Order: sequence, then structure tokens, then C-alpha cells
Amino acid sequence: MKRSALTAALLAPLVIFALLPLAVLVVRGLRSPDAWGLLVDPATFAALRGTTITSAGAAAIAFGLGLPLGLLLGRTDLPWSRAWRALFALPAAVPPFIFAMGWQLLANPRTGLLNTALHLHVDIYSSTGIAFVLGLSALPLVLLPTLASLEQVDAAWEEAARLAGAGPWRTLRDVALPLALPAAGSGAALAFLSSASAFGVPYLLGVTASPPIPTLTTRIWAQVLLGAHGLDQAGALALWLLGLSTLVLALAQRLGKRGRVSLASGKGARRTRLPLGPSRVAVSATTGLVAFVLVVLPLLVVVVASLQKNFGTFDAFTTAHWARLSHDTRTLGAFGQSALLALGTGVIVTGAGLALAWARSRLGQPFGAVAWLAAWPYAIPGTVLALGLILAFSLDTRVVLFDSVALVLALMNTSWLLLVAFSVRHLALGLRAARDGLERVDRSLAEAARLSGANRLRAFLDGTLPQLRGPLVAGFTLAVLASLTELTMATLLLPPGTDLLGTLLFELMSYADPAGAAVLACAVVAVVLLGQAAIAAAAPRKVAS
Amino acid sequence: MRWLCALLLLAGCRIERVSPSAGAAEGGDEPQGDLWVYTSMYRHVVDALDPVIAKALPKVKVHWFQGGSEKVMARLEAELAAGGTQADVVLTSDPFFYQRFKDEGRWLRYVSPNAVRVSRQLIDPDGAFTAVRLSTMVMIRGKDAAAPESFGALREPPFKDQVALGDALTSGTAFTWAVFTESARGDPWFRMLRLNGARVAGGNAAVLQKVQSGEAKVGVVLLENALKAKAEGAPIEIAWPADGAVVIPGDAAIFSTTRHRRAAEGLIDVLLSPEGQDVIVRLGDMHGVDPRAAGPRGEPGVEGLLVRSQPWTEGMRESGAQTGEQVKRRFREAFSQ
Amino acid sequence: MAAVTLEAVHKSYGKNHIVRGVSLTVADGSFLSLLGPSGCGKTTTLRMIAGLERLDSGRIAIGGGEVDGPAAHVPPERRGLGMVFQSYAVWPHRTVAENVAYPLERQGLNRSERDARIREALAQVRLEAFADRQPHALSGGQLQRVALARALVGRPKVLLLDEPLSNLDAALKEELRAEIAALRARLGTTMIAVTHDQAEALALADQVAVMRAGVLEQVATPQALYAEPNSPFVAGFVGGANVLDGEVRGGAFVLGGVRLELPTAVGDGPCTLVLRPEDAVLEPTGTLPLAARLFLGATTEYRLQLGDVALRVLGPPHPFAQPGTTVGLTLRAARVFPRELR
Ligand SMILES: Nc1ncnc2c1ncn2[C@@H]1O[C@H](COP(=O)(O)OP(=O)(O)OP(=O)(O)O)[C@@H](O)[C@H]1O
Ligand SMILES: [Mg+2]
Repeated sequence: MKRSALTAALLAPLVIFALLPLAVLVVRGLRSPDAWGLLVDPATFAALRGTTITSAGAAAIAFGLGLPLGLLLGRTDLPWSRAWRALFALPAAVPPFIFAMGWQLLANPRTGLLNTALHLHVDIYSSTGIAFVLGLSALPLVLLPTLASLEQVDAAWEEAARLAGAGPWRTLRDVALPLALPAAGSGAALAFLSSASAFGVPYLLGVTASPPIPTLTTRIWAQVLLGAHGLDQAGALALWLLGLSTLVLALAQRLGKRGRVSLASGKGARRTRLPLGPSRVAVSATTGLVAFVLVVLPLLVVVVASLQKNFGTFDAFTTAHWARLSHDTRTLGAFGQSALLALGTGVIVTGAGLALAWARSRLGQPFGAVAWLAAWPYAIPGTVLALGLILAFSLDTRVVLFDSVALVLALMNTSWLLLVAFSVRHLALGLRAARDGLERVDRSLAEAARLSGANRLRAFLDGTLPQLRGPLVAGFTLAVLASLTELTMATLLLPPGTDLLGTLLFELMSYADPAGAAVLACAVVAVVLLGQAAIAAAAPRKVAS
Repeated sequence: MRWLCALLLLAGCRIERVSPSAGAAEGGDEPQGDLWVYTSMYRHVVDALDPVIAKALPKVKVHWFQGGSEKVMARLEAELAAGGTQADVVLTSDPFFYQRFKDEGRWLRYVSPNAVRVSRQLIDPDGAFTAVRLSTMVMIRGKDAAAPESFGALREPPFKDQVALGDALTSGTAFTWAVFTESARGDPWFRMLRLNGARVAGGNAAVLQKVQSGEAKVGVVLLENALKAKAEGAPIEIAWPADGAVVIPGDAAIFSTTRHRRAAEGLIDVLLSPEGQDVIVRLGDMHGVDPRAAGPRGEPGVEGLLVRSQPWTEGMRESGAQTGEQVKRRFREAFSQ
Repeated sequence: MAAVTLEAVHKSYGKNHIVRGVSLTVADGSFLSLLGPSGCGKTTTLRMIAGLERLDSGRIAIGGGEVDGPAAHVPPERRGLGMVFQSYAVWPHRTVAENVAYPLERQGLNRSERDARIREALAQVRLEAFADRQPHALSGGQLQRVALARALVGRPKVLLLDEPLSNLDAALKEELRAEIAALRARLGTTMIAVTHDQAEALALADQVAVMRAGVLEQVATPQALYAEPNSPFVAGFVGGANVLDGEVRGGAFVLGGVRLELPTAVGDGPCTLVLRPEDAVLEPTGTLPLAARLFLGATTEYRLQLGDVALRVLGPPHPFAQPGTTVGLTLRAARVFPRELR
């Protein structure tokens, strides 16, 4: 295919499905009455401040936890590293608001269990609280890519440091850490974006704070609800999020530049695990404690609460909520539909991310800017993206053939639109993963294939792609888990007669049945854990990296 | 590669052929066709309504888009902005939205024969919309907490730091409540609530959960949520305010762009019929509008409710629809102090 | 099978001119060794021949047809080449046999043919026993041999070797050199090899090209290069000659107050003296301090001090020449270049 044709083929879906909906929104927004006044309104600035603080905090927490955990799990002989890995990846599958619910039960200032039982004084209704919960939810965004990139590091580099006189900790710090930084950094940037576009957690925790903590997402939604020009003005407000996301990505790019080295070069990388020595027990215990407090405890509280007659108090045990849900046939259907949609999203996102990353490294412009563009749908609230898609696609596109047959591209009210929405939203995950991976594979691997007679595409598939397995699996996993329980876009775009886990969750929440929502969320967690175990059992344990 | 793309595109397409049978206009008097209904009614209520509708309107196929009132409105706005909605009937609980769309001339006028018994304050005088169900904002309290006498009492010292309210900015019901209570008590009302330590907590579910778990002692919440929680054993009591509960009519209206007018009218007739009202009351835990129907879970029926609540006047809808933004701003500013 | 021709090939990365006007012809079936100091552009030149880098200007032809130039760019996979990468580029996700099989897969050979060819190639690099190993479990030299087997298994018209034997022991190197030579004799493959090992370059090559900072200094047969280096750089680089800056005065080379009589007559003036270590003979009497004496097996190396410059001389193990004593020196042959050339 000619270069220009290839470029067009790659860019067209991105432009049509990702940029068009945003462009429609933004253009309408800027043309709406008083858009500029709204953009610089003091309340908008307060929201911008709230978003920046909570998202930066969340990114810092995800980074601060994810990077050391990645080093520990990826490069040392810490026992049960697979189990830890699965556990710490869990927050990606649990809707953040379930975590928020858990922390609300644990750390609300008046009746929170931590506060009453341990006499602490933590207040989850605060910027710190929001950042904390968002940061935990975003932990896998940092952890999984970090682990994937560390997989490609040759042990010789660490061994060289050991021989130069560095102890195990020093070696981690001086060799593995700098090599993991780019992946962890871009993960942190994604954590920022996902936090900035989050609605559930800032809403659940932010409005109750005293005074309430406004964020751009809550403000945008409030603007939509004003009706009339509200929708358009919300589009204008979303500009702040787009700007913020571009800024953060540029920053991450700049910071990450130094550490980009090719790791997979074709000289054969051995992996050995750095022995922790005497500190192994202490480190294991600490990791366990961290996992328990940060991941298990909030979920456990939610599970226990769902087994109470009265959600939120802990005195009367009942299995009624569980029994009710297990009888509901819709739950099962929703599981199937959601799984299908999530897997489809994962495949599309990974494939498209790979194609764009490849185009970026091979075709250069205009793909350099694609990284920014692809991140936009991830940086705005799901509601806004969904509304943009409705704006762009609610009317059918009709092509009439021979005056009698019409091909009608009708996305609205089909599962395709949901697939488009999920894929567009999570494209950033796939693109990041592919870029991080590609940048680390030495080009000689593809070149050797070309000299063996493979064309460009073939050489990429045979020489480069297999080295990307780790990063791509990480991106795929993140996209699938995030789509599995997505509920904002799902509720707005759901075709009639369909059920998804997200919409069921939303329904349970809004029908004043938090226990039911908790049960469903726990069921999702259980299924995800089982799925991971099954994958782990089925996958051959390759020694090779 | 190119062929693959084309194939994928085709897979997403629907193929239509022009033939005499397809898409024929409604003939005769029998309502028929595909009817799109956007609603905030709970899913299980919708499920229970389906057979009732199927019996009364056998040739009508109803497609539901179901979500919260706010989501329904947002989707409608977006579709209308894009050039048109496919919705024929809207059934949500957002009185100001119906008023606004009426002012924009979007509704078809229709008064159902089944509405003869319905109180006039629940029907638009011009027939643009009719309430088919009623949600009610009341107060709830924890079992061991003192009962507030009225909404006004929430700013009094006994309830300092004990009140949870819905967020007027994002919850339609909380907003309606805010409009009513503010118009009764004037400008400083929100600030006084705030000074008394009232906390804002998302939507009705969040308020309920805060009172249930003891995080707050008193809350303002929808009657239907409170009734259901109480029936399931939550340690809460319902407190009817002496200054009048706030009734939030769940209206039904037909878009003037509908292509299935007869079917849409038939649907509203069904909802107002004794069978329809029965499903709404029994499964939705809310009041019907037909005075012959009992109230939910042993509560008195609609006439008893209207006695206990603040009256809806036409002016109220107008002012709420036009000054809602200012009410929201005052609410926001009061609580960000 | 195919001659390789480079014409005024130019390549720069940004502002750095890496290859500057290289012209070169490698006759069909001949062996060219590319020599030069690290970073001079050898790999870059090979990569351009392979089609992995585009030229800035100039043209390249393989087997008579232009593969790169203003008019054409034939992609690497259609040039019929084999290459051993300096970084080996052995695919970590394929076993040794699978790595070697790849070019044959691309040629569409069936399985039985393929297996035979793979066995043959692995035998040539002495890796028969390692066919099913994963690359991460191989030594550096073994990896290099996998890369070599992969490059030659497809019987390319032209084989590009970027330091193909650098990681091997002397005996194995010798064996593989013989294999490569045999292969060339059998198949008539044209070969271009980058090497740092002069013995290798001089022993295998029909032609040696010496490169320096992106420019070809000299292209000649090994003998000619050795006998007639056209610059002190080539002489210094190829023969390991002593390169001394000094002055000719009255038929003798003068440096640091020491006079060395030249075997041939040269006019006076500043010059550069190129003296091969084996072209000087130690005398028992003289004034040059002997700094060190190294036993090299067949010969002995002596380090003399010429003012503050060191001079290497090879010779038999003279009993008189002990470190700390002074000796004399007679030049049997030497080349003198005007100073500017350097
Ligand atoms: N992609 C690149 N971008 C910029 N400079 C490059 C690039 N590749 C090589 N160079 C520079 O070009 C010069 C020649 O590189 P090349 O790899 O051809 O050297 P070489 O002769 O093969 O050296 P060696 O014997 O050490 O392998 C070097 O100075 C190198 O730094
Ligand atoms: Mg090189």
C-alpha cells in the first residue's frame, strides 16, 4: 500500500470515531453563549484546582507505590510474585466507586471503622482521600507496564553493578530503576488522566467534603444538567481537561526521554532475580501488609457489608443480598455481554495502539501528534465522550444503491456504538503499551528478518512483535478490566434489551441498593481472579523473556 | 487489508430495501409500530409493565431506554442537538425539564381519557404532559435520632452536624426539593443549612446510606427509597415534614415529532389505567396519580399525599425552569463556604 | 553471482557526516574486508548496502542492477543478501533452529528441504547439538555463530558480515574462516566483511578497504596494501607500523636528538616516517635505551625509547638486548611521507 493510503487508513478511524465526537462537542461549546465567561469563571478555576490537586496526588500515589512494587515483583526473589501481581492488578477490575464505598465505610469521620475501632482521625472526604482512592485504582496503570518493561532487562546489567560494588538495593536503584522509569512515568501520566476524567470517586467523596471539593468532571456534569445550552457549555469546559491532558503528556514525554533505551537487542537476555538476602522475610511481610491494607481491606469491608442486613452497619448477618442476585438471570447475561464487549475492546485497543505506534516509529509525521490525540478521549469524563458520540452518530448514515437498496450505517442503539465508545476511550492504554514496548526493541531484530526476505510488515510481525508480548498483554489487560465494569458510557449508550455489568451496577446503586452493587462488584472480582488464575495455569511457564 | 475494512464496515450496516410492506404508515385506528420510550422508571417496574402494555397494545413494540432522569435528559439534549431524537415518549421525574421542553414547543398535546380522575395540579393545563406517578421527598431519621418536625427544623440546633442532603447540582430530585424549600424560606436558607453543618451527599442512594450507617442522623430522601429500605429492615424511620413534603411528579409526554402518535397515546392510557397504576405503586414503591389506587406499602393514596405536601402551581414550574440556574448557583456558593 | 558497486555514497545523521563519498567495487565472488577504527562508518556502509539505511546521495548497484540511488530503492528483502549483525540480532523468541529456519521459510522451502539446509548450516558453524536451545541459554560466541548460520543458510548472492568472528577462540575462528572460504569457493558468494582482526582481513580477503572518518583511504589487495600503503594512517593501521613525526636531515631521520640512517635517499624537510617493526634490526652497540622486551612466541618485541616516543621492533631473541641497556638500530626498509599528508 502506498504511504499516503496507509496513513489515511490508519488515521481515518481515529479521526472519525475519536476526534469527530470531541470536535463536535468543543466547537459547539465554543460557539455557545457565554462559553468564554464560563471558562474563566471562578467556580471553574476552583474545579480546575480540585482536579489538578486530586489527580496529581493520585498519579503520585500510583507512581510511588507502583514503581517500587514493580521493582520488587519484577527483579527480586520475593516469593509468590505471581500472586502479588494478580492482587495488585485487581483495582483495575473493580469500579473505583466500589473502592470508594469501602473506604467510606472504613474512614468516614463519624462512623468509619478505622476511626471508631483504631481511634484514628482519618477523613476520606478530603482532597487527600479522593487522591488516595483514585491513586489506588490507578495503581495497575503504573505497575503492569513497569513489570512488562523490566521483563526485558538483561541480568548482565545488574550483575555488572554488583561486581562494581553495589549491593542488591543499590543495584535496584541504580540499574533497574532508571530502566523502569519511562514505563512507570507514562503509566503515571495515564493515572493522572484517568483520575482527572473520573466522576464516581470525586462525586462520592467530594460533594460530602466540607466544603465540597469541586472537580472539573462534577462541574461538567452539573453543567449538562442545566439543560438548554448546558450541554454545549459542558463541551467548552471539557477543553480544560484536554489542555491539562496534553500538558501532562508532554511533561511525561520530556521526563521519559532520557531513560528510553533498547533492551531487547538480540544478544539474548537472561533473567535472574536479585536475591534479597536476609531482608526477604521483612520485605515479604511489608508487601503483604501493603496489599492487605490497600487492596484487600476495602474490598473485604464491602463484602462483609454486603452480608449485613443493613448496609453500613455491622451487626446482623444475612445472605439475602447474595441470594437475590444469584437468582437474577439478567446478571448472568450481563456477565456474558460485558465479557464479550471487554474482550473486543481489548483486541481493538491493542491492535489499533500497535498500528499507531508502529506508524509513529516508521512513518513519522503526522503520527507524532497521534499520541496526544488518542489520549483525549481518555482524559475527558465518560459522560462527555458518550454525549459526543451521540452528537456525532445518532443520525444514520445512508448510502443508497441503485435507487432501491440502502446501506444504513446505524450505530446508535447497537452494541457497535458501545464497542466504539469503549475502544476510543481506552485507546490511550493500548497506544502507550505499544509505544513503550516498541521503543525498547532493537531495530536490528526486524532488520534481520528483512534481510531474510521478509517485507516490512512481515518483519515487524516476526521479528519485533514477539518481543512486545509483555507490554501488549499489560495494555490488553488494563483495557479489558477497565471496560468490564465501565458504567458511565454504558448507561448512556446501552441498546435496548441489553444488560451490562456496568448498567446493572449503576441501577443497583441508584435504586438505593448499595448491598446489591457490592455483591455484584465482588462477583466481578471473583470472576476476574478466576480468569487470571486460569490464564496463569494455561500459559506455559516460559523461562525465556 | 482494504477488503477487510470494507467488510467490517458492511458488517455494521443494515440493508434496507424499498418494498410496499415495510414502514407502511399507520392505517386504521389500531395503534401499532415501534415505540421508543426514554424513562427513569426502575428496570423491574418496566419489566412488569411490559406484559400489561403488550396486552393493551398488541401491535406496538416498545423499546425502552432506561436510566436516571438526569441521564435521560442528557441523552435527549445530545440527540436533539444532533438533529433529532428517535424517542416518542419520555417518562422521567424532572418537572422543570418538561416545562422547559413545553416552552420550546416540543411536546404533543394529549390528555388521556384515563386522566379524568387525576388532580388538576398534576396535569399541564395545556395538556402537554401528565403525571403518571409521584415521587416524594420526605425526611428519614436513624432509629435513635430525634424526629425533625419540618424541613425548616433542619437548620435548628438539635440537628447541628446531623443532616445529609442530596446534591442539588447533580440530583434532579434534590434540586426540586431545593427549589421548593428555598422559595418557601427565602435566600439565606441554604446558607443556614450549611451553617448548621448539613452535609451534601450525592443522590438519594447516598443520603440513604449515610443515615442507614449512622454517618448522618437525619436525611432528606425519596419516599420510595426509604420505604424499600425500611421494608428490608434498615433501622430508619420516615418523618413527614409539617411544612409539607415535596412531591415530584413523574410526567409523561409525547414528542411532537413522533411518527406513532396513536401508539404513544395508547401507552399513556395504559400507564394511567388501573393495571398500569397498580404496577407503578406495587413495584415502584411510589404513589400513583389515580385516587382509586392505594399508596405504596400501606401509605395512604394520592389524595392523602397531596394533603401532606406542598402544592404544585404553574408558577412553580415556570420559575424552576427559568431560575433553576440561579438556585443551583446559590446552593453551590452556600456550601462552598 | 553479483558484484557490488558503490558510487560516491554519502550519508549523514543530522549534522554529522558519517559516510562521505565512498566509491567501491567488489567483484563478483570476491571477498572484501572493510577495515578501520571504531566509529569510522563501517557498519553504516554495510547497512546502506543492505538497504537498511537510505543514502543521502550516490548510488549502489548489486549484480549490475541499481538497488539504491536517485531512481530506485530496492527494499532489503529483495536484494538477496545475508547479513551478520554486529549485535547478532538473534530473535529471543525462536530457538536456534527456528532462527536459522527463518530465511528458508521466507523463501518458501518445504519442510524436508529446510531441515536439511538447517542441519547443514548448523554443522558449518559447529552448532548441531544446539538446535533446540533458546537463545538466552547460549554463550556470546554461540549466538554469533547462530547469526552466521542464519545469514548463510539462505545462500545469498552477497554476504555482509559485521565482525562475524569477533567472539570466537583462535581455533574456532580458524575453522570458521575455512568454512567461509569453502563456501565462497563452492557458491561463489560475494562477501563484504567488517573486521578488526587484520590477520583475518589479510588472510581471507581479495581486497581490503581501509576506511577513516567516513572516507576510504585505500582499497587494494592485501599484498599491495601491506607493501604500498598510500598513507601513514593505512600503514599504521594495517601493518601495525611505527608512525613517527620528525625531520629528514642529510639522509637520516632525526627525532628527539636521535639520528636513524634511512635506507633510501630522501630530500630534507619535516616528514612522517613509517617503519614496520620487522623492518628494523637491533645492533648490540648504540645509544637507544631499551625500555622493554616482550616474548611473543615466534618473535620477540622490543620497545625502544626515541626521545619521548616509543618505537616497536620485532626480531629474534637477541641475548644482548636486555631492558635497561642501550642498543643500536639499522633500518632495512622505511617509508617517508611529507608531513602535510597526515
Ligand atoms: N543512528 C545514528 N544516529 C546518529 N549517529 C549515528 C547513528 N548510527 C551511527 N552513528 C554514528 O556514525 C558513526 C559511524 O557508526 P558505525 O556504526 O558505522 O561505526 P563502525 O565503523 O561500525 O564502528 P565500530 O567498529 O565501533 O562498530 C559513529 O560515530 C556513530 O556514532
Ligand atoms: Mg560497527
